[in-house]
Amino acid sequence: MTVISSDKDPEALTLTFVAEFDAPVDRVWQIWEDPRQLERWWGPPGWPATFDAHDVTPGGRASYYMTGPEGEKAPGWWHFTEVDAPTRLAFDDGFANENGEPDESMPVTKIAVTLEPAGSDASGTGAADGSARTRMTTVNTFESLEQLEQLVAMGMEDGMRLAMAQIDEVLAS
Amino acid sequence: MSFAAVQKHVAVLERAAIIEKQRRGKEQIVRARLETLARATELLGEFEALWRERTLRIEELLADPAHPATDIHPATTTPTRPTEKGHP
Repeated sequence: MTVISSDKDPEALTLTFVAEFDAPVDRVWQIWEDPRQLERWWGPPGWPATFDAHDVTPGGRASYYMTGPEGEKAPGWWHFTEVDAPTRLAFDDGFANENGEPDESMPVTKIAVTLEPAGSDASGTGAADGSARTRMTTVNTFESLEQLEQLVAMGMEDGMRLAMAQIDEVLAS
Repeated sequence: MSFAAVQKHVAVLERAAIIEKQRRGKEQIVRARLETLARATELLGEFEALWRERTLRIEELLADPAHPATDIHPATTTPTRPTEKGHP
C-alpha cells in the first residue's frame, strides 16, 4: 500500500494526502510537469483530462478540460503560485467558462505538492540497489463548507452520469 | 420568545462556539458546530477517495515502460538539482 496517510482537518477545511512511489523524485516530478503524463491520472474515472496549456512557472497558467462519458466537456484552469522543480508545486484549481476564462462563481481549490526522497533513499542519491522512493504530500485547501458541498455535489452528478452511461452500455450489449 | 431574544441567545451560543452562522444570500443558516465539522469531514472524505484513485493511476503510469525515465539518471548523480532535471 503506497498511501501513507490521509488527514482530514474539518476546521481548516484541508485534506493532507501522503503517498509514496517506487521512483526517484525527478521521475515523479514529470507526472506533474509533462501534460501528457498528467492527463493519464488527473481526471476521475470516466472523465479524462486534456491539458491544452501547461506553463509550469511561478505565475504561469494551465488550461484543461475533462471529457465526460457522453462527450460533455468540463473546462478548468490552474494558476501556479509556487514552482520549485523538482520538489515543490503549488497552484489554484478552478472552473472555466466555455471561452476558457475563469468562472468566478465556482469554487477554487488550493493544492500544494511536495516531493521528497523517502525510505532507505532519504539521502536522495538512490539506494545501493539502484532503487529510489519518493514521498508525495498533497495539501488540498477548500474555501468554505458551502464550496466543498458544491464540489462534491458536482462530482456526484458526474458519477451519476457515468453510472447512467454504463447502464446504457449494458443495455445496448 | 421574541425575535430579538432569539438573536441574543444565538449570539451567546455563537460566542461559545457551540453553533455557527453561515450566510446564504439573505438568510443566515445557524447550525450546530459539531454537525458542521462532521459534514466537513465527510466531504473531505470524497477528496480522499479521489486521491486514492489518483495514486493507483500514478503507480500504473510510473510502471509503464513507455516512460522509462527511471533509467536516465545513474544512481550516482544527484537527481534533485533542477539543472539535471530530465525532460521527457
